[in-house]
Amino acid sequence: MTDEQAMMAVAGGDLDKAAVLYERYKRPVLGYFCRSSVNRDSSEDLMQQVFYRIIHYRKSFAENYVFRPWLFRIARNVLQDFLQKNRYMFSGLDTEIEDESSAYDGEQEYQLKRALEKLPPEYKEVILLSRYEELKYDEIAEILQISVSLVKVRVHRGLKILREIYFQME
Amino acid sequence: MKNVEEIFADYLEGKLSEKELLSFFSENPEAQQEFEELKQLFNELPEAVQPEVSGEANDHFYAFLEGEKSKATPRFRVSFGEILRYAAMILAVAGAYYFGSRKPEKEIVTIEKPIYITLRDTVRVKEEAEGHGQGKAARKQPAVMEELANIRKEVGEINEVQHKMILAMLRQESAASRLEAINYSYNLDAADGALMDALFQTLEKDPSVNVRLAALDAVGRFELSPAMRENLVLTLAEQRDPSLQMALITKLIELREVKALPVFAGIINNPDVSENIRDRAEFGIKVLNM
Repeated sequence: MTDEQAMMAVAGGDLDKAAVLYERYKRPVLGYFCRSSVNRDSSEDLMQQVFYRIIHYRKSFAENYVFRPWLFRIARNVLQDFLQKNRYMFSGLDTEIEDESSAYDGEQEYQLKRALEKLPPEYKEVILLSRYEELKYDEIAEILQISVSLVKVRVHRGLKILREIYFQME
Repeated sequence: MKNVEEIFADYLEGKLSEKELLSFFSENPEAQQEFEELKQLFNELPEAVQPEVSGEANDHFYAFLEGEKSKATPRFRVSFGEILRYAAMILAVAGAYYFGSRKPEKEIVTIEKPIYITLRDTVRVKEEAEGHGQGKAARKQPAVMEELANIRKEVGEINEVQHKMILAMLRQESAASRLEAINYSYNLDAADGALMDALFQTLEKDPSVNVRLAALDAVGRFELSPAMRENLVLTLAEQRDPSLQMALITKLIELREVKALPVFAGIINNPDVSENIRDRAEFGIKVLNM
């Protein structure tokens, strides 16, 4: 059963299929929030909110929709709401990254992760969505409500800025 | 003609052929070095780590899903609140009919307040009449007093039924039913010991965080004895769910419960507790020490 078939079933009232989608996507969605600099506890709360919204708004899922970008659009909205409500917590983010170097293979990988954290949000967002959530540029454009060309520009510039930050850290 | 951004983005997405790439570099040789560097950087980005989801989060989701499923199941149902409203209306109309149909005797008893159609006001009319019962007029109206005593008895019975229904619903498997039970409790002016025990037990042990939060809200609406307040403090000490921790701290600050101070201090010193909760506990200590 594809994601879209499962979601159409949920939209049609077969809520058991929501469990199928939850099991497929709970970890990618949790990873999305963790990578977006939200702490672990809050990330789990936000992940749950995403699935609550999917169930609440199930009838808005149309037959021609692709599930994955639709899911991440909801996840992004949840993230934006959270950041809006917790602005004060994120103002000094770049200096408060937890020391989790042991979770990475090597120093270089860890430094790259730290560099990613320091990337301006609009660039970081497109890189995360394309590199980690494996979304296509047209899907990212739809999620962010911007043009595909702008997504491409942001990927390119984002990597250039990332390279500068990375070299500065070295 | 594509610019460097498009060429790079298309390459990453696998939409660019080798031929197109070579053609671009032959016309823009200065772009090749940067292209190679960015490509290398992109490939060296850390692999996606997919964190494990906690068992607690899974439990919350499945409890929520069960609740949604039971809500989505079509069934004939009369709201308990509606039943109560109708019962109160019947009582009030019966009372109004009784008083309206009585012929005035030599000494007229005036019930100054009108008969209302809600349960709460029916009780108030009864209480006011009982107040008159201390006086001369009511002593001469034993039938009125008898009728009011009947109304009081019936209201008591309705309350008892309401308590029993809420208790039964709190034992339901569906989180939605338990939430509904808690919502009904909001209509009560007071909760008996059994209901308060059940609400506290729900607050401490219900598998759904939403239900536990609602139980806290319900508990907070009733007058809390010192033992119940202490129970709230103990619940906070045992609690690991961040949203409940936050709600409990807020409630204890609102109650100005100084016995919560040591638990607040423990939270502040616990590095496993999230920062915003520790901040709230710190705020609580300041408020309670004022």
